[in-house]
Parts: sequence; structure tokens; C-alpha cells
Amino acid sequence: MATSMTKCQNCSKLANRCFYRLFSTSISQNAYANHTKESEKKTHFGFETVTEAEKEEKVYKVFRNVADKYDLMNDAMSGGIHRLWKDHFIRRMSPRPGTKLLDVAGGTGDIAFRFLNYVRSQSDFNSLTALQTSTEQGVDINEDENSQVSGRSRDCHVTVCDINQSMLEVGMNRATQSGITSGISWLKGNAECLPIEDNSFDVYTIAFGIRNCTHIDKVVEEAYRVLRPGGRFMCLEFSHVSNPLLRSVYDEYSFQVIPVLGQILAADWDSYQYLVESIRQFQNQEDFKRIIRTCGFRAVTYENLTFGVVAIHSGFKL
Amino acid sequence: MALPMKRLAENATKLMKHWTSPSATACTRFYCQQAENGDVAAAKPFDTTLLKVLVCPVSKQPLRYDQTNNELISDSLGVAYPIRNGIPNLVPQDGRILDTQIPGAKPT
Repeated sequence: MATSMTKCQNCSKLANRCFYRLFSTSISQNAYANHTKESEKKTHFGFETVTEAEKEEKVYKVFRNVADKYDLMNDAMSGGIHRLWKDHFIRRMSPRPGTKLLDVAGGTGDIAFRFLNYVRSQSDFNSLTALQTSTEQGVDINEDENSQVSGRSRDCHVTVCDINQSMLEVGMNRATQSGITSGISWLKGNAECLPIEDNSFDVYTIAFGIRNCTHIDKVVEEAYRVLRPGGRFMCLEFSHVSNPLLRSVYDEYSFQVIPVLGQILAADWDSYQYLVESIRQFQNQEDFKRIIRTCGFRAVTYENLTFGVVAIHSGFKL
Repeated sequence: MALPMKRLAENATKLMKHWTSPSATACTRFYCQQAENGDVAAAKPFDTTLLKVLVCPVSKQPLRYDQTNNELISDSLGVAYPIRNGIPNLVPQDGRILDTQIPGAKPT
């Protein structure tokens, strides 16, 4: 209790200190007042109306509760289709050796592990092909040179950033169990204020996470900031089904089946009720594309998967 | 419709608990809860290569690694961010203002 009280006092002191140090007195007072007002603004948490400050806490609790059953529930809710969506997402990215990826809201590591496996398998294939070609042509390959080249080509790195410690630790455990010991780092951070330097990464991904953020425009602005010029923003997220018949079937499945699965498999009806409601509250494909473009990205496109149940949005920092 | 289904699902959950293995779930839940409390004894080491890209989430200035207290220090703001189980916690609310004592430390 004392520790949580100390933390609460520290948080409010930190908020005060941050704004007073960053701005002049009059501006900082206005900035702090505006910050306080903003946190009292209303937003949605699923179909419920809450303050923005409440939403962040509620979302945090949802993912803390579901962390240890997250992967199981993904398989159960989608019948395993989420794996195909994520595989397609990585193929669309087509990362090359040497790519530095920032995977935000990456929690349990699904995108990160696929990224590493994709790049490394491509590198291994290229090395094998080069060796075979040189053998056919009768050209001697220095073994040291070949291993150095293959080592460089396998060099890619992913930083997984999530606001939830529980989700990250599940991801770390999965990495250990899969034998992934290099090329991946874990970071707890808020997508709306990333602790990342400008122009640091080649690709930014956020998969099934952005709809849980309070200020989507701030998330996309931060993505723009941390990408290097020419870098790519990619988002995989639930979206809107335009066909009325398919939409009614999808809605029935979402609201009648998924919370039941959540209760049976994870003993948590409310978290999965929130998750299906949050999908309906998120922008449709065109509106989200507009947000991405407004934040500075160019060549913004989207691709519907499974009749629009899921969409991949992509943009470049040009 | 929703309320009877919820009760049915709750009863089904009780049955599931007899069939599912509790050890892995309990272990992970314990591990996560301990991490939340900051009491993980065997913490994984911090990956110092991250320092090349990490900055303070508020000031966007570079961070300094304090190995003694296992924290990342923002000298520009006078704030320390903890590292829990090798994971730097760089959400602004995780910061500790440096003129306060470390939680649990005895006053001099």
C-alpha cells in the first residue's frame, strides 16, 4: 500500500516536473492545465464511455489479465487464421537482411519471431544458392568469406515494444523456448510517447494493437518520428466488413461466441467483450488511411484480408 | 441471452479447471505478478546495445545506464526508469524522481 501511494505521489510529481522543466513558467502552466484537461476528455472503452486516463488503465488491466492465455485465445477465436494473417503481413513486408524493425504493441512476439525467421531463412537460401552456383562454375569460395557474408546477411534486429510487462515476459519466455537468443530486444514503452530516438528504424509495425491506444494520431506521429527517411509503417488491425450479410454473421460470431470462449478458456468474459467492442469502435479502412496520410506518410495503401475482417495499412516516410 | 450464456460459461470454466494443467498457467501468472511487484529474484541482464536508440520518453534526451541500481537515468529531467527482468520500463509513469529515496531503502 505504501509503495503504491509512493508511486502515485511520484507520478504526479513527475508529471509536474516534466512540464515545468520543459517549458517557460506561463507556457508550462498552460501546458500542464491542458494536459490535465486532456486526460479528463471522454473516449470509448469498447462501448463504454470513459475518460482518457481511465482508458489507458483499463486497457493495461485487460492485457495483464489475458497475457498468459493470449496466444491460446488467438487460436481459438480465429480458428488459427490469425497465423495466416500474420504470415501474409510479413510477406507483404518482405524484409531484407540488415533490416531494423520496431514492433510496437508486439507483446508476445508473434510478428517479431516471424520477421526473424523470414530474414534468416532468406539469407540461408541465398548463401546456399551462391555456394551451389560457385561450385557449378568451378570457382573456389573461401570458407571464411562465405561465413562472413552469410553472417552479415543474417544480421537483422527487432525491438519489441509493449506497454504491458506481462505480455513482454510471455514473449521472452517464448523466445527462450524457441531457441531465439539473438537479434531481439524487449522494451516497455507507450506507443504515444516512444522512448526511441528519431530516425532509428527501417520498419515500424503494430499488429492488433493500435485500436487499443487512446490517441491513434499520436501513435502514428510517433511512428513517423522514429522511422528513418524511406522507412515503412505497417499496421495489421481488425477493420470493417462492408458486405452486409457477411457483417451480420461476423457480428453474431463476435458477440455471441468470443466472450463465451474467453470465459471458458481464460475465465475472463469482460476482457474479451471489450476486445470485440473495440473492433467496432476503430476507424474503417479509409478513415484510418486518412489519419496515416495526415501524419506525413506517403504512398499510403491498404489491403483487406478475409473480406475486410482484417486490413493491412502501409505508408512510407518520404 | 447474454446473462444465461455467461452463467453457463462460468460453470464450464469450473469443469475446465479439473482438466487443464495448472502448473504452467500458475507459474506464468506467478512470474508475471512477481514482475509487476518488482520482486523477480533472478532478473535477466539488460541488453546494453539498446542504449544506442533509447531516449527518455518525455524529454527525448539520451539515457545513462546506472548498473548499481539497475536503472536508466534521464539527467535532463532528473528521473530514473527501472529495469525489470532485463526489460527497461520507459513508460513515463514508471519514472522515479531522483530526489526521492529508492523504495525500500532505509533512511539515513
